[in-house]
Amino acid sequence: MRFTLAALFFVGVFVSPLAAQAQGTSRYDIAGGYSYLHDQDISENLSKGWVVSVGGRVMKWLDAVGEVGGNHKTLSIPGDPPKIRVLALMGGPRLTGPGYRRLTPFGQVLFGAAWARTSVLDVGDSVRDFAYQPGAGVNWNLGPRVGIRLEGDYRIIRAEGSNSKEPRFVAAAVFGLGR
Amino acid sequence: MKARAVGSLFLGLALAFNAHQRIESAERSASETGLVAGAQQRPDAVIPGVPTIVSSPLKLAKAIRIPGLTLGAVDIFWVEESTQRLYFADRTNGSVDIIDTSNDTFVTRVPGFGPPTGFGNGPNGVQWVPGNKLWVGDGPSRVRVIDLNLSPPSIIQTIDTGGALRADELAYDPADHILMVGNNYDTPPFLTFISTDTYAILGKLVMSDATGLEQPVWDPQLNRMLLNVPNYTDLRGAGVAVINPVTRTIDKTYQMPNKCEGTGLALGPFQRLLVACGRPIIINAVNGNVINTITQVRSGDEVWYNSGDGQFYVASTDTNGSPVLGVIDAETATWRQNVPVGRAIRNVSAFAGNNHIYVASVAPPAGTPDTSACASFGFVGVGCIAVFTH
Repeated sequence: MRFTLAALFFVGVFVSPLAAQAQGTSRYDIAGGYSYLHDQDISENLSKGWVVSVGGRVMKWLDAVGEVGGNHKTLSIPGDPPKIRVLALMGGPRLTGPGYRRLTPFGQVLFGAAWARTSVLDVGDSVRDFAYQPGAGVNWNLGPRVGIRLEGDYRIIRAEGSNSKEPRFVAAAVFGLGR
Repeated sequence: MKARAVGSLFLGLALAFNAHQRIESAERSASETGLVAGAQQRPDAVIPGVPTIVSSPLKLAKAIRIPGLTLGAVDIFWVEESTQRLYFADRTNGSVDIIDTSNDTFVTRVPGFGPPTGFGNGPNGVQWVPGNKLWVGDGPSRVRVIDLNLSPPSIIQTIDTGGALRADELAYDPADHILMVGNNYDTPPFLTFISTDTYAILGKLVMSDATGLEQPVWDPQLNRMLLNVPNYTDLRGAGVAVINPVTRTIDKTYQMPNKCEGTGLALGPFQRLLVACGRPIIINAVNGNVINTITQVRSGDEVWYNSGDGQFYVASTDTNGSPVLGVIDAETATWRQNVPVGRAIRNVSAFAGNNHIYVASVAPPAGTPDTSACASFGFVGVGCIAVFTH
């Protein structure tokens, strides 16, 4: 039910005629930056992370987005420290909302795969699972082709009959390409 | 183009919604069937190998009465998560006994093992293998295979490992479908490698410098068998042998400190290996480095790692010699708790599905007071399987 309301809100806000008024001027955008991820399943913050995303305009208010991001952590416990890594490769639609001054809000739902690996001295175990990731954020446009992106996501990974939740925060530089 | 893009968008939203619905449904279903036992049990983690630490104290919860002769001698316990069963070697009754770990009740008994005493005794080690077969080390020098699919479960194969004395503890390599079993009392002791597909003996590894063989364990990340060798002929103390079951060779051996005598072995998270060697010693299975030696409890015989609560368990005694069930945090390799049990216990296993810990509490000699965990549940002088929970 909560998801239905969120979906309706998402559509209501972003799929509106107003959205068309504030589209960016670039046909493509590329963003890269920092990500901070919390895995609720194991109650660990993976504070070392990165993300790269590429968007291409499909309609005035709609982009197709591809994204790859990784996070990792070294656990502080006695003995040789275990390392945890999470990598996600995802894609999906991004809806861009009406701009306000230099701020352009957006929302997106990405689908793809997430890889997780735990290792000690490079001996470890890894898994790959289906993941989807609703998220939203804002682009702060510093110039016609450069800006800063702040974004929050909620990644859900479907693993072995259950789901693992990973909220994520992203801060990235955004660059526009093409017209 | 626009219509297609909008269509894709709504298709995506619909898929996400549908996936969410299925997840909720699966969670409800698991809850209704009782397979998710208690709030402390988390669903399978997406990040592999990271334990959920249950820090609440462990306590004695119940006792399971074992029918037949008074429980006097037992050996290895094995809980299989997929079947929700505890299988254990009941030497008193010459059988392998089966307990339902979802409700802690005795299910049935598979007879035909033994003899119960001497160096050719049995049953000894037990190991569940996919296909719902239970492999059992028995005396003299025999490995038995029980088909658990039959009603009642029965022995379907007997394999002679070619020794004179007992076939003891065993471990299974699921990657190559090979079972390894040790003849620990033969001179010299030796390991036999058996195909679980054809029941054929693939080969042997004679441990000519070992004085015995103890608990083996399969390490799925190293793709190797790890074996606790209790001591060597030069009396240098226990070692953990890293064995390739395909080539039947020893890659390397981790020497344990202080010339201790080895018994059990259990693999925990992050390649943390508990080596029972007088004291529980936790080493890194990748390089043999000692992470910590536990001093608050001795190590006993069989040891176990419970992935449901992230703890190692040892059935042994504390520093005063009092019988206890020792609890060790596997992630930090530190002692957590000793649970007094009144009378000596032996062998331990656990069901991660509900974090029930099982130990054998055998009956006291006739005429002596029964101070065991069994007596507190009314099973006086007969022994039982004691069950502990958080």
